[in-house]
Amino acid sequence: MKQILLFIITLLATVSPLRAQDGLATNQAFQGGIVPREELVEVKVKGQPIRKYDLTLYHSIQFQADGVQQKKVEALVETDQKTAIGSEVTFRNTRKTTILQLPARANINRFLCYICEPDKVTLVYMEGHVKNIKQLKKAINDNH
Amino acid sequence: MNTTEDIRILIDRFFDGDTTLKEEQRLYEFFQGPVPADLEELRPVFQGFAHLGQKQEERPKSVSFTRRKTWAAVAAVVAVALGTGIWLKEARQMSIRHFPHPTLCEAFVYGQHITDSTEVMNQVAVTLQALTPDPGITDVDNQLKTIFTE
Repeated sequence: MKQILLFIITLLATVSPLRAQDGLATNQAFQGGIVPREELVEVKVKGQPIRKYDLTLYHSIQFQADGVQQKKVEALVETDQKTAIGSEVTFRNTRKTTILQLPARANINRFLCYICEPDKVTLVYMEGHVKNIKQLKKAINDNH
Repeated sequence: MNTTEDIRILIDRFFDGDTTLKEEQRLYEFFQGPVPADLEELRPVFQGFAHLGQKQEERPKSVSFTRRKTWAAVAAVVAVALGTGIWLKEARQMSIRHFPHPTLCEAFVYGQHITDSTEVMNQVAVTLQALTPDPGITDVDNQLKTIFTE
């Protein structure tokens, strides 16, 4: 009986790759909690297309955001930042970029990125075998 | 009652179909040896029956052999099925090792579903580039820029 339960639990854990985002405060934004999904540009990529970045999962949303909406997203990112094991914040002109390394799950490293521009917000959730933010950026640079 | 009397009674019961297997065996064994003259004419009859009885004893062996063949066939099928299952599992494990995740590549642009992988990956590339410093600029350069432009 235990084995059956374990099998079912393992199966559920592997069925949807996006379940790994469960538990993140920013998941609210990914699910249309800030702006409806019809007003988002949402990208989901898994597997071979992003293997060159040493990633296994890429999930991003981008939307036009006013000041109030941006503050809401910032608050969600700050909540997730509390559990992050690494972070990097950079500013370039009017763009603020926050990259968080979240605690790994099942030996898969996780990252959450937040790009805030004057009237646009981008959130990116990634999973993969890159070890840290530095390696993530190197993998991205090496492929551009 | 002496033995010959017993035999005569058994013969009568035999032809009435009332004898047990043990009693029939006794009759067959009796007619293999010397018999009274008045029973001699029955010798070929009982020897014939004895011969038939041996054939009947052999029949279970052939049935047993058939059963063994059947079980062997069943075991072979099970072994092939198990072997195939194990092979398929190993192949799937290898597939998972080499291709750990199934491919998904899609976008939803204001509700419109986009599955063109080129279009989707272009979007990914643009976003990822926004996360990183410009190529060719070292971290030190970027940090200096950041410091002096804040």
